[in-house]
Amino acid sequence: MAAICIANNKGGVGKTTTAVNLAAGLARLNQRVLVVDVDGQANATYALTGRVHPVPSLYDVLVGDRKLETVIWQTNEENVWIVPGDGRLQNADVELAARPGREWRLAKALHGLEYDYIILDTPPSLGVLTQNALAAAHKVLVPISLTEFSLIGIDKLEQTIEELRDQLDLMDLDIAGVVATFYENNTAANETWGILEKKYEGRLLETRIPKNLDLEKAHRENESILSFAPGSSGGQAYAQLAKEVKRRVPAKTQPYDRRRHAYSA
Amino acid sequence: MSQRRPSRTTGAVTPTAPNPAAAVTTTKGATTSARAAGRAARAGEVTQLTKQAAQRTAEPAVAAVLAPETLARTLRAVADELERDPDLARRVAAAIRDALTQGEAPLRAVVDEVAAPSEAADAETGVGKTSTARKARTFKPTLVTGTDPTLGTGVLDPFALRERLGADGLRQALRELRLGSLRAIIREHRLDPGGKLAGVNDAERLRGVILDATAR
Repeated sequence: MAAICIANNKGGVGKTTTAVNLAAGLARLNQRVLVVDVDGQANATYALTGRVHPVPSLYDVLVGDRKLETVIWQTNEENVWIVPGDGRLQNADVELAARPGREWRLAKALHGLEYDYIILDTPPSLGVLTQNALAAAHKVLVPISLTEFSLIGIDKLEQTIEELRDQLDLMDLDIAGVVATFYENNTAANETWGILEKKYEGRLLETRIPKNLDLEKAHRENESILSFAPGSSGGQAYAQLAKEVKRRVPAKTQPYDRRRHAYSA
Repeated sequence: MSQRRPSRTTGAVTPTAPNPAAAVTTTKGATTSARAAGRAARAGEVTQLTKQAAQRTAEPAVAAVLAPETLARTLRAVADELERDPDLARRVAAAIRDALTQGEAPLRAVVDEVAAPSEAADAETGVGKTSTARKARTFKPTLVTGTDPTLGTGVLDPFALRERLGADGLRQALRELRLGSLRAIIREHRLDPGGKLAGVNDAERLRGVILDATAR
């Protein structure tokens, strides 16, 4: 079991696309994968099931007292399940603000589950929901788009991870990799790549996700790029990314157990 | 200006311009000169010929049977005549309008086909290489409401749905599903043991397979 949080406080960098297609890629490597849609926009839920803001959802687990096992759905992808999100999650930050141990609610709910990978798709913010996802994760994967504004504000995520690490005693929480998205072979993108390579030495993944219209079409058709257009540039890249992530973050055999000692916090 | 640039105007005359040319060239052959085409138009034949063009549905698009430069020359000549002779322009416009409003699908098809450049022709001429906006669109955005929650969670069971909703109800339910959901139903209920549908991205065909399977 390995839990990977897909996070970046910037929007539109390909977090959901990466969560959905990485999950499908890992499933094709014979891994059992659970996607947890922590984002109130619930785009991963739609992309994998065709459902829009289903109820009950993760909200009922985090804010209510519903058991997480009762909101696990089979998705359109073989060997991929999902805990769906819905629009009510957008208020969850406020509703959870005064609760004790608010950062741990997701980790606690996931306890004991037996999957090879848990992929946590997060909202473009660093609020309580993202903190829950980071606290529940073993590693963080950061998609960064190779576009003009991609380099602004990326330090904020690292700072938050460091703060959480200290605050919640998550000594092993770390950025496992940075994956470049929206890659186009032009000078600007290659220069941005060069900057990231220096900044994230050894952590910038080799796989670059190209800008590819099929990725958007696949979402529209409620399936991963690996089902919709496996031979497309996007499909090949995500298949490659899954192999790379599996190599960097191998799944352990035991059930999910994240910092049990901290649950009483 | 390329002869294949689609007209985006809404005026009655502009979109009709290709069709008189189509009529002229199919009557007099691809070698008809621009001047001859103009004379034919002036002689009042265009209206009649346009209607004839509408009936030639089996013929390929005008653009496909004419050399690009010939087509361009012809269209320019016809356009000149239409500008010079308002009466002729009015008559051509009226004929086209009548054909369209009376449901003469063949003529509409010709208009549409001429207006929308083919990808092959674009590749040949270099037109549209920098933009995909002008390619024929197969997707039209609609409000996304998702799968009806009353149908159930996860991958749907078409057999249970048919039992509950009947054949028409199932058909309606399947109509709302996108490729991924249809493919998942086929996979989970083993409706394609030979794996023949693995790479099929035709939603209508997948719906047909599911409906057939549940009807047995």
